[in-house]
Amino acid sequence: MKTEFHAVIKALSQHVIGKTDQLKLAVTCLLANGHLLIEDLPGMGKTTLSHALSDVFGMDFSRIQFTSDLLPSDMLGVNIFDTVQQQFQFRPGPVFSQLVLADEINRASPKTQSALLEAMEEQQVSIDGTTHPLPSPFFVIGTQNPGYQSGTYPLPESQLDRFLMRISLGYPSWEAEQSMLRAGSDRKTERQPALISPETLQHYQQAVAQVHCSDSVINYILRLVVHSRDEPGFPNPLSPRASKAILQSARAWALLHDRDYLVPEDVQAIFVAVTEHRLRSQQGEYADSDVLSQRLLDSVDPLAA
Amino acid sequence: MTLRAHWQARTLRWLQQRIPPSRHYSLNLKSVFIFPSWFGWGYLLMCGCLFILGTNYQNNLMLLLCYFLLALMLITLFTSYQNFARLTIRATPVKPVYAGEPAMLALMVRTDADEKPVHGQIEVTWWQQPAPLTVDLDSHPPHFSLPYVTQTRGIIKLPRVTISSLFPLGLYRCWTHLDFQQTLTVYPRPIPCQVTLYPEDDEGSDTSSEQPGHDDFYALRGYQVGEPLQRIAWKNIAKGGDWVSKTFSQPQRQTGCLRMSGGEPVETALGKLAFQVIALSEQGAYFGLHLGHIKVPLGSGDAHKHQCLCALARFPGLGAVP
Amino acid sequence: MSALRLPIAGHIASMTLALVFLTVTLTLYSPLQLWVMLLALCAVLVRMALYAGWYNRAPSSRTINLLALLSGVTLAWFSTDLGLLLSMINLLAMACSLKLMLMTRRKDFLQLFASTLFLIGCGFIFSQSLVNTVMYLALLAVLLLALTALFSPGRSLTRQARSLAVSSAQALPIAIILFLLLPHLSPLWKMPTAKSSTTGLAESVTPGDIANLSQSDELVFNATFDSPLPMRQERYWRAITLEHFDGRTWSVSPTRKQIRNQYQLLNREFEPAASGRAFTYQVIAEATGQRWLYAIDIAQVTDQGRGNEIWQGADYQLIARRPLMSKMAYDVKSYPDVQLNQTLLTLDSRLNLQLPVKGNPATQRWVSQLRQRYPGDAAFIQQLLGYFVQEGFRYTLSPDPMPLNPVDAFLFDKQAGFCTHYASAMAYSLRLAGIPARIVTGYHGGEPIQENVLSVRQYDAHAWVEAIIDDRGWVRFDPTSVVSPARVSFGLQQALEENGDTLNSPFDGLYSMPLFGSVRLFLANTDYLWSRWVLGFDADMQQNLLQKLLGELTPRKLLLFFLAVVGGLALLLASYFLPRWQPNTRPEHYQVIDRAEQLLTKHTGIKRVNQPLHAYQQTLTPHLSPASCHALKTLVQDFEHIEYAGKAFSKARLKAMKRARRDLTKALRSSS
Repeated sequence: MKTEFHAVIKALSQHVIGKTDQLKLAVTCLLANGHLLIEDLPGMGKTTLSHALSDVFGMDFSRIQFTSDLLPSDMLGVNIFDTVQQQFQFRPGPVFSQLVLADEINRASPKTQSALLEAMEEQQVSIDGTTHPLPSPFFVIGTQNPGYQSGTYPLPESQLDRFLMRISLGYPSWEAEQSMLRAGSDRKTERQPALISPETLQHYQQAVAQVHCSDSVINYILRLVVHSRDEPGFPNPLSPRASKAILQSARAWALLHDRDYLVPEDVQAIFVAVTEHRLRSQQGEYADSDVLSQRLLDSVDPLAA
Repeated sequence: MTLRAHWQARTLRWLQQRIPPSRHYSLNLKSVFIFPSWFGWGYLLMCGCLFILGTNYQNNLMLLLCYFLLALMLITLFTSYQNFARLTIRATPVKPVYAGEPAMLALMVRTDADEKPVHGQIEVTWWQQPAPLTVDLDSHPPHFSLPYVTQTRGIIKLPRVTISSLFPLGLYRCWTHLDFQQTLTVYPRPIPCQVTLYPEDDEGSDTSSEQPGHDDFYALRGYQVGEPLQRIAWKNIAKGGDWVSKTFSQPQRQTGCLRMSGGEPVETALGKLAFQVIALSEQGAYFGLHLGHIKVPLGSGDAHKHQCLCALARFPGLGAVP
Repeated sequence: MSALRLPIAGHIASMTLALVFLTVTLTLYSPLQLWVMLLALCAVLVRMALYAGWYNRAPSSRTINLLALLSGVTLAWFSTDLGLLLSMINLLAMACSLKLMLMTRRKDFLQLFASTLFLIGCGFIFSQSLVNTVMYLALLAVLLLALTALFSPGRSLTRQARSLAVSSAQALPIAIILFLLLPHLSPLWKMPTAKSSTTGLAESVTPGDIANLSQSDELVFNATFDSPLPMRQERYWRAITLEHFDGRTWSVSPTRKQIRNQYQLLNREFEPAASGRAFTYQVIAEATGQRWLYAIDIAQVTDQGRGNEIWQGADYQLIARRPLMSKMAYDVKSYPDVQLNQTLLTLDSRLNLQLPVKGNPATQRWVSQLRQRYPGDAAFIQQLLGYFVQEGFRYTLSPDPMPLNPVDAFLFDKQAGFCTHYASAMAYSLRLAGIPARIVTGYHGGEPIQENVLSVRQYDAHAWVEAIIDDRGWVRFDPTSVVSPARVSFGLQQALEENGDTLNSPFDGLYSMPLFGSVRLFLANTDYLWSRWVLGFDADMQQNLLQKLLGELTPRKLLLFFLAVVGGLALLLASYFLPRWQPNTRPEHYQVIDRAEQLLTKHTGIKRVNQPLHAYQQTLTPHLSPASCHALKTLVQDFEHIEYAGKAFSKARLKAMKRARRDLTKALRSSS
């Protein structure tokens, strides 16, 4: 792994203990310039992870707690009439921040959800006909409570794939929780110095596109995607947007591991995180233990000519 | 059962074993049938005439011509079969439709780059239906849709699709009957009417606190004296701003349950319910559906709409909603 | 399916079909009536207009029905003159023309296709020459192309042509095997003959007729000799014996015809006894639509199969039982030295002393005077021939017309003419003198196109005289040879050149050029081979072929042979269509990895189930010795480098991979 990133993961691990894989995926997602969806029960360290990420990369952080009465304007900002200057002035909302934690995104009304997703997609906000660009880098971590909870608005399939990856942290292992308890203080209040500046991060984000991808890896990705379209048992086959997402994430993963070319292992490493939420229909089937993306990986040979 | 129907049922059973249902097919010896077309028989007859004429006039060239044509027919038997058996065809799931609309079964002929492509025209039709769809595999993109006319609502298992080809010389007809395992949901035909929502009774009372009955915020505009106080954007004023009031795209969000209205034929009632479901979904309303013992809980969105319409399509209790 | 409509404007398949149909119609100019050809032309013009989009509706069926009625009546009117065969062909062409105008559905197209194909087949009735065959094959190819274009309109024409060519090339060997081995049946029933196709000699000769023939270089027959070629002076090919003279025209004697019919009914064939020097040869006669065959006297038909089809007449001529609608081959043995005295000479004498009631008074007077001076037959004939020489008779192909008393005019006035004039004058004179005489028409000479093959063309047509001299029977006299010895010794060309006369053909002078001569000889030779081996392939040749292949033909052998042929055909088809063994197309480094994988699976029993190589390597690590682990690691690294790193392909890496694979093999072997 690249030394810088090694340090980053190490720093993150001090906050979220024993979840190296998920941390790597989160950093990969950031490198690939995508947004991250974390699906977990409350109290698993979603917020901790977001804070740690913003610290490590020196990004400004804001957190929006989504509730059913949250309005788009509460999040995006409003035009306010300035009595002194006698004109409307834009007051940016919390979304104008480099790292946004959209907590419990499924509690907000569809209107608010789609406002956020639109901002994520466009990297800008339009209010009353004026366009306000969002800061760069711009990284949204959405969190969602799994399981059926009444009064929530699950994200529609069409919007779920705006998130590049979905991960879930899950319960920590015995040792991890033990060391966490021993460490005592739950959250460090002071900000740590950034290991990688936002500018350097942007530089890396551009470097992702330079990672070489051979035809055989492209064909491997295509075989996976087409398999999901051809075979029964995949209610939502993978779209071309999904295949682009796979390639992008795999490249970021390769960069993270200090390699300037792709191997099938890169695709496999990020595949579940990138595709599982796209493959699954949203009708409260999270309990289903069968991992559809893993089934795809198992049935396509990376070495087939 | 008439003799014809009996025979058809037998054939279908036989086909079920010979060509088991599947979403996608690569044709093979088992699934391809081949027989001379009527033109093929005519061609044979003409060869016979040439033979007789050639023999009677002791004309070797005529005999040679006749033998050549016969040999060509023999060769065509194989080329015809080989071409057709290369066909790999796949169906994408058919989308639900409202009764009276045609459902489109989208079929895709897959062509692998490393395999020879399939040539010629194919004719596609439903099992024992006339009026085939003609697709030229050489010039068209290899996907096309076969319309299926729906009359009444319900869950319909689509019949087998017959695909045939006369390539290359029209002497043989190659054909196959494929079952793409498609189940079509036909929603009731919507009948325009008034939307009537009934309050949700007995159950769901515990979710009252969760009711998303909040207002659908639209914009801010200057406050005018006389407007309800609850619409004033107090937050704004507290921040030292001007007096502004919120406006709403809709006064209130509807919530409640749809029920069958009595005193009407079942189909009419279902049609009206379908209309209401569509109307409410367009408004983004939060609603449920009660149909006798079938109950669709409160919800909104496309998936919910589909769930409700499905329940209507299945109406007298053909099973649980998926 | 039958209701499928064709596109009209710009439909290439229909237009091609129409053009092929028109071409076939034009090639059938001899059997088809002019108005039928015009109808076809009109139909194709209608098609062209439709194709170009000037009209977008085919003519209504009412118009066509009316036209059909009209054409039908016209055809019925002509049909009595045409005979059955020609009527049928005309009818077919007519119906096709009408259908072509109406063609809107796929069914119509296919019907027209089959009919045009059949018309091509019919074309072979009228001409079987090599050139015609090649042309019909080309038409057939275009016709088939139109058919493929109908069923795969989206494919480019060149691709269609290519796959059609492949199919045809595959079909051709099968067709040839079928042709060679399927039994050649004799005609199933008598077919109507084509009236218009009669060429060559006629049953009657009015001096002046053969002049037309002389100018034609159309082939009459080829004769292939087993023995050396006969001398030119001996090559008198008898075709027709003319024994009736009416003062102007010589014709076949009605009495002779009656007798022949009676004998044929009783199946009493004239069988002349012959022995001594003989020529054996095979004649391949071109189709003439007539029944005369050609042979040198005295001829005996030797092949058994043909014996029943050829009748030996009492006038020493060979007659086919059926008119020659296609080429006919027959084997003959000729005994040139045997005298022709085996028939009833009294009957022959009576027939051949017949004289016309009136006419030619000058000749009558002159002959009676001459006869009085020379009562001996030999002396009289000597004087008669001498007269031609003394008076300076000239040989020419363009004599003046002699409508009244032709013999008088020829003998005393014009004194110039060709073989028929001389033969007619001499035979008439002999009869006047009381010597039975007749005219024989046939061919004389022939051009050797191979060492043992003579090719006889229409310009070799000749007429000569036979007279009964004592008990020697019929003796041949050729008055033409007296006048123009070159005609007999060297052929027509030479004779004409000596006389300062030429053939009235556009090829004048060309014949003398050596290049042209060799080309002509080559063409003649090709045509001969074509006739002999393709057109003349019959049941006998087939049997010979089988005997050459199998030795003596027993039913058991034949059965085995035919089973073998069927098996051979099956093998041929299998070779065309069974999937061929394909070379491993995977790149070399994949092949190395595949082999390593096989080894590892065999050694550890763990399969790589769609895993990438790294993952597989990790799965295997606990089960492998350190050496094998190391080798595998190198192998995987090298593979990844070649396949994924996007660098230029390096041979060194591949070599390293192969080396690592060998190391792995060794390490695995040593650890087990």
